[in-house]
Amino acid sequence: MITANTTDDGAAVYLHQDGSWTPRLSEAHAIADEADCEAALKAARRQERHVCDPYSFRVVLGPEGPEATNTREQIRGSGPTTPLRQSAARPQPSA
Amino acid sequence: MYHYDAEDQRLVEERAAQFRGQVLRRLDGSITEDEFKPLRLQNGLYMQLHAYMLRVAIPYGLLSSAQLRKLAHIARTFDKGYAHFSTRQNVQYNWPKLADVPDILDQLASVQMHAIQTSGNCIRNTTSDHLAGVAPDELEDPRPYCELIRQWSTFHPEFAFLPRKFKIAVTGTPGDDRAAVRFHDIGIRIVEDPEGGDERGFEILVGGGLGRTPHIAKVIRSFLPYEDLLTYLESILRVYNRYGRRDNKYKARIKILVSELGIDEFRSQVETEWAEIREGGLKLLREEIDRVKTHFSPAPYRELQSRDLAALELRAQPGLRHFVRHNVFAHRVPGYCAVMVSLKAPGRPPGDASDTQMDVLADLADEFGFGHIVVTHTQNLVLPDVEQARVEALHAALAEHDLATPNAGLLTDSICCPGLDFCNLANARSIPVAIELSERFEAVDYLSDLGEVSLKISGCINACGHHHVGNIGILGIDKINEEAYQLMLGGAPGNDASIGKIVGRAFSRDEIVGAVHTVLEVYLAGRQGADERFIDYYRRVGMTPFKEALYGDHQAG
Repeated sequence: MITANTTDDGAAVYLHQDGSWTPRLSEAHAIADEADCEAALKAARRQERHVCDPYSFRVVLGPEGPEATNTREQIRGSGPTTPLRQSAARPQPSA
Repeated sequence: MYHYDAEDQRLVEERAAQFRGQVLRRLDGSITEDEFKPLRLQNGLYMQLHAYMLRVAIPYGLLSSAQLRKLAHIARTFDKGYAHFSTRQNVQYNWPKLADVPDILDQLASVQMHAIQTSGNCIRNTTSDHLAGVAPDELEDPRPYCELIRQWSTFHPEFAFLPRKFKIAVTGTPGDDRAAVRFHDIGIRIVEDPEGGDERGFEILVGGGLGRTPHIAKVIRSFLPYEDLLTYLESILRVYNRYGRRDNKYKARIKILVSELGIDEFRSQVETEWAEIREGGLKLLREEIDRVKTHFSPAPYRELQSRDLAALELRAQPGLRHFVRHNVFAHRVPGYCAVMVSLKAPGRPPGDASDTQMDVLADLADEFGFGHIVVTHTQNLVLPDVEQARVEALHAALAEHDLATPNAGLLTDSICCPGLDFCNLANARSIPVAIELSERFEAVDYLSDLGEVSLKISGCINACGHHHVGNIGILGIDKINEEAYQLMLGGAPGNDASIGKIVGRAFSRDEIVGAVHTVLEVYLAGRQGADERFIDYYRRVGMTPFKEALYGDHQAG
């Protein structure tokens, strides 16, 4: 699987079969062949206006499509596992 | 606090404008990521797992209420409504869009802030004691010297590309180091002249640090006259810049150079360099120090009688009682106190504050003080000048916004890095461990009974969570694609500095919180009364009872 972070906002994206990028790992293209993977990585690096520092990582094919096998990529694909501090409307002072 | 002059203001505005051009060129494809990366890093902009991260400098942790309101505004306008206070008195935004960063830098410049020196192999933001200027046991306010170091180091052309990043901390309270100076590349302690002279000076330590190879800094000069501060620092940096290793990132910090040369040889080289420049243009004039000191002149305190905070503690309701006991600190001015605002509420990521909370704190800093807020390296905020008579009212206002957790200095006041939930370098998550610990040990009576015990959690060996110097330290590691956690005991960052030792084999994510509980139970069962702190108990009995309780008959290792 080829992945990168977008230049615009740094979001994790994955290479689609048509050379475009998708934010969903399950929709991306799992590449079986090592040489094909290298070629896809080279092509991805040419898209450097859109993405930063592409690299490859291992996936397994699950019922919904490709799935990451390590914790780092699982978290990277699905977002932080911690609650983000919620902004709350500030109470207005009573009249 | 220090106010920019026209030159300071011009520098930060020009830097923001320069970065705007660099961002535009990156976005229109004129420059590549490889070309852009060093430029963005020089402006505090990192790439993390899910997004860019912008680290904003807070020199020696001191903020005005206007600056804190601006940080809240940026969080609300350009990020996800919160900010993260870091373990080096800085603040981080986890979700900025690249195109917005120049606007953020403009906003920061409008309140005399920036993101310079928050990344890269330069001299980073100088840190200090969070009770600087108000601690009753302080010899002298260290912040004017921090500010002089900031002015000397910002854009210093010789030190823009050091072998590695370089961190300096200064304390003015030699009797109680709250700035962990022994774990910095250079640690500076304001001290009396041992020869009995009228002028105070500095004890200079060098070669401390955490990370992969933790070192306690060594004294390179026991007394340095005040006027020689910058020439001596420059000499240390020159020797490091010349001989620090650039071939191996893991051996590039000054602690390795000092360790390999030995402190005596390193000192000799520094002194040789110093002899060349000591009388040069960097020699500090008393007038220049006094000029900077005027920015830190005493606040307009009222003449008040000191109140008996212990009496207030006794008659207060439980919430306020614990708050007064743990979060309220003595002040050098009668009738005043410093109040620690904990950003470690149960179930919350340590160090995070919402935009609303930041706005509230800015208002409270104006209402209950002189408009100042201090960021601590323990990821809390301090309101430094609160009238003792108004602590109860302040506590009530803080409690309305989940800011009155009475746990300063207790187990759940943990230091915690962002870990694998955000950080590109991390091996394991740290925030969920801190959250689970904060919920498991939420009972304030239990925490109070435990007393002073520090817990520090890092998601990798780089040690942003300072795990080496936690009384209890937790280090996240990657064990064949599984998160695992090493438990360390016996670390301490202050005058009794020590580096924690690994207890034994690592624990799984499911085991680590229970392991901490076991450690606490060993301590509670074995201590010689409530006055024996955890660290003192550990130093008395050593690792054995903890190992036996954690691993039983199994081999630890």
